[in-house]
Amino acid sequence: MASIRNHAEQHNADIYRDYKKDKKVGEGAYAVVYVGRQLSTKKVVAIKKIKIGQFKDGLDMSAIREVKTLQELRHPNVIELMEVYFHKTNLNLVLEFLESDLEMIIKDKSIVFMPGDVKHWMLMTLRGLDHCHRNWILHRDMKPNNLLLGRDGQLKLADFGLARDFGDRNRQLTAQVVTRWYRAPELLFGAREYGYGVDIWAIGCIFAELLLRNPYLPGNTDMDQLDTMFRALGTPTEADWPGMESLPNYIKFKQYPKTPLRLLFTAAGADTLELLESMLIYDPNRRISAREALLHPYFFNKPRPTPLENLPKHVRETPEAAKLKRKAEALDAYDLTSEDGKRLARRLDFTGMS
Amino acid sequence: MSTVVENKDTNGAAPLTTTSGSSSSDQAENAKAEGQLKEVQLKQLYEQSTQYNHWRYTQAALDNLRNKVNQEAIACIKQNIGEERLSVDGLPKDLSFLKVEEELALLGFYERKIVQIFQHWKLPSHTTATAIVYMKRFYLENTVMDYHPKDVMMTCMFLARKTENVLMNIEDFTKALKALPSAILNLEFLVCKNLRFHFTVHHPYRPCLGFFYDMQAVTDNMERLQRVYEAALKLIDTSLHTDLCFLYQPSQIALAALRIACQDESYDFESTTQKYNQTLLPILESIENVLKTDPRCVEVDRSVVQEIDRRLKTCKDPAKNPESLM
Ligand SMILES: Nc1ncnc2c1ncn2[C@@H]1O[C@H](COP(=O)(O)OP(=O)(O)OP(=O)(O)O)[C@@H](O)[C@H]1O
Ligand SMILES: [Mg+2]
Repeated sequence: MASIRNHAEQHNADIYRDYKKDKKVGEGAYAVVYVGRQLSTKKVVAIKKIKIGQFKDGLDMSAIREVKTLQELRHPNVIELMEVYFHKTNLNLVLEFLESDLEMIIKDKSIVFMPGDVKHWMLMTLRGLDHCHRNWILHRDMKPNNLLLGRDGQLKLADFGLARDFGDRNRQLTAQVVTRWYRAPELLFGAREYGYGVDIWAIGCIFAELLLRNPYLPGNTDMDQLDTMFRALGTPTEADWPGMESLPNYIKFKQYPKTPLRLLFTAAGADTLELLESMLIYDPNRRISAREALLHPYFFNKPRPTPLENLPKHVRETPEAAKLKRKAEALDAYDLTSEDGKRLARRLDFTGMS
Repeated sequence: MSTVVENKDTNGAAPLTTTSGSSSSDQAENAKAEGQLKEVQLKQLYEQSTQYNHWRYTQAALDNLRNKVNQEAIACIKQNIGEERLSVDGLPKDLSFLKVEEELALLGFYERKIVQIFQHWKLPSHTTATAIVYMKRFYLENTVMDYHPKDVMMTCMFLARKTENVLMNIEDFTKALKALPSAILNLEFLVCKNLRFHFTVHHPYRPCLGFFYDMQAVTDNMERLQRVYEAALKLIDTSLHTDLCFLYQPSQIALAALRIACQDESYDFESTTQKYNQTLLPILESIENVLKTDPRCVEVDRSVVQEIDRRLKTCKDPAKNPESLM
C-alpha cells in the first residue's frame, strides 16, 4: 500500500490525535464550542467545531474569515488561535480557553462595577481592537458576548466570523454586519463604504452598557434601532453628518433634540462622558479612532484601571461553592487591609463613582 | 528620537506608553520622528505575519525541498507502478519521470491560465496573485505527478475568490470552467492543509502604490511618473511567476520594480526615493537580476507544455488514480 507522502496530511492527523473534546460549552450560529485538552501538554483549550458538510460551496466564508484573520493577529487582547485541523467533514479551531465573557458579567447583578473596572475593560477592548485596525482588519461583530474573559482577568476579542480586511477603501462591503444594538448609524442607512468607525460605534455602545448595566440602544427592528438611537442621541442633521442623506437607505426621521449624556449617565465623570460621546459621533469620519481613544485623558485620569487580579470575575460554580465564597467575603470585609476587603469596602462606597 | 512601545503593563498604568528621549519641540523634527515611527511599526506588523514567519526561504532551501519532493515521489511511484504490474521489471518502456524544471514549467503554464481567467472575470490583480501564491505554496511540498495542476489550479482559484472576498458559488464557477464541483471540493481541504491554513498573502501591489504616492509628493513630471508606476505594476505581474515571493518582502519587490521602471523611463529614482538607504541596494539588485534573467519570467511554448503533460500521464502514481486497482 502506498504511504501518505503528503506531509500536510500527516501533520493534520497528528494534530487531530493530540486534542480531545470534553464537554460542549457553547453553540453559535455556525459552530459548536467544546472545552477540551491538548493531550501532550495537558493544556485546557476550547475547540470550535465548524460543520462544513452543510455548505455546498465547501469551506464557508465565516470559517475562512475567522481563520484568515486570527492567523495574523497575535496580541494579549485578541483570542489566540493555536491550531487548525480537519476531521471528517468538520473544521476544528483550537483556541485558548476563556472562562466567561463580558455579557455574563454585565448580567450577573450580584457584581457591582467600580469605575476602575469599566476603565480596564475598555482599555483592553480598545487595545485589542487597535491591534486589529493596525492590521487593517475590521471585526464587525463587537458586542459584550464576543469579549471573552480569562481566569486572570484578561479580556480578549473573539468570534472573528465576520471580520475582514480593509485594505482598499473603494471596495464595496456589506451593510449586514454587527448585531443590531451595536450597529453604527451608517450601517443602518445601508452604507457600502465604511471603516473602522463601525467597530468604534459598537465599543461606544458597550461602554454605555457597562456604565448602565443595561443595553444602551436596544432596538427591536432596524427601523426601531434608528428611532431608539435618535431618541437617545438626537436626530442628526446633514450639518452634523455630511453625506448622510445620500446613503442608500437613508430615510428622514422625526427631529428629536439632543439630550446631554450626563442626564442619563448621572454617575459618570466628565472625561468618561467625553470619551463616550466621541465614540458615538454620527459622522464616521469624525468618530474617534481606537488609537486616539487609547490616548484620551480618561485613561490617564484617576481612578486607575482596576488591577487585573481584582477585576470582577464570573465563575460558573456550584451553589455550595458560591455560598462559601460569599461567607468568606463577608469575613474579609472586616479586614479592610486585605485586597478583597478593600474591594468590598469600595463597593459600598459610591462616592468613588466619579 | 521617540518610540512607541505596546504597553505590556497588565495593570494598565498607561494605555500606550510614549517615551520621548529629547525635548524635540521642533515641529519638523516631530514630523520626521512620526514618519520613522510609522515605518518601524509597519515593519513590525509585517514581521508578525504568517507570510514572514512561515513562507520565507533561501533559493538553496527551495531547490533542495523541490528536489527532495520530486525524488521521493519518483521512488514511491516506481514502487507502486511496479506493484500494480506485479514486478518492478515490468515498468513501461516509455516511462520517464518529470524533472523539477519540467514540473515548474508546467506550473508556469497554469499560473498564466489563472491570470487569463481572473482578468476575464475582471478581478483585481492581488486576487490573481493570491491564487498563484496558493498554488506555488501547495507545490512546495507536493508534485504534479501526484496532483494534477489543473485541479489544484481550480481549487486555488476558488479558494482565493473566497479569501479575497470575491466569492462565486460553485455552480457558476464550475460551469464557467467546464469542471465538476467534486474536482474542486475534494481538493479544497487538502489545499487548505498544505497552506497551513494561512490565507493572508501580502503582495507588492499595495506597497508599490504607497511608494507611488510618496514619489508624487516630490515629482515635477507627473506624466512620466505615472508611466513608471504602470511599468512597475507590469514587472510585479511578472514577478508572480518566479520564486521572488518566497525570497523577498513585498515592499522590497515593489521598490525593485519601481527602480527598474525608473531606469527604463530615465526617471531619477535615487533622488526621489533617498530615504530607502544604501543597505537595500544589494537586495534590489538581486531582485532585478531575477526579473531580468529568470527563464520563468517568459511564458513557455505551448508545445513544450503539451509534451510534459503527455509524459505526466504515464508517470502518475497509480495509488492516487481512482481507476487503478490499488
Ligand atoms: N475560546 C473560548 N473559550 C470558552 N468559550 C468559548 C470560546 N469561544 C467561544 N466560546 C463559547 O461558545 C459560544 C459561541 O462561540 P462563537 O461566538 O465564537 O461562535 P459563533 O457561532 O460565531 O456565535 P454567534 O454567531 O452566536 O456569535 C460563545 O458565546 C462562548 O460562550
Ligand atoms: Mg459569538
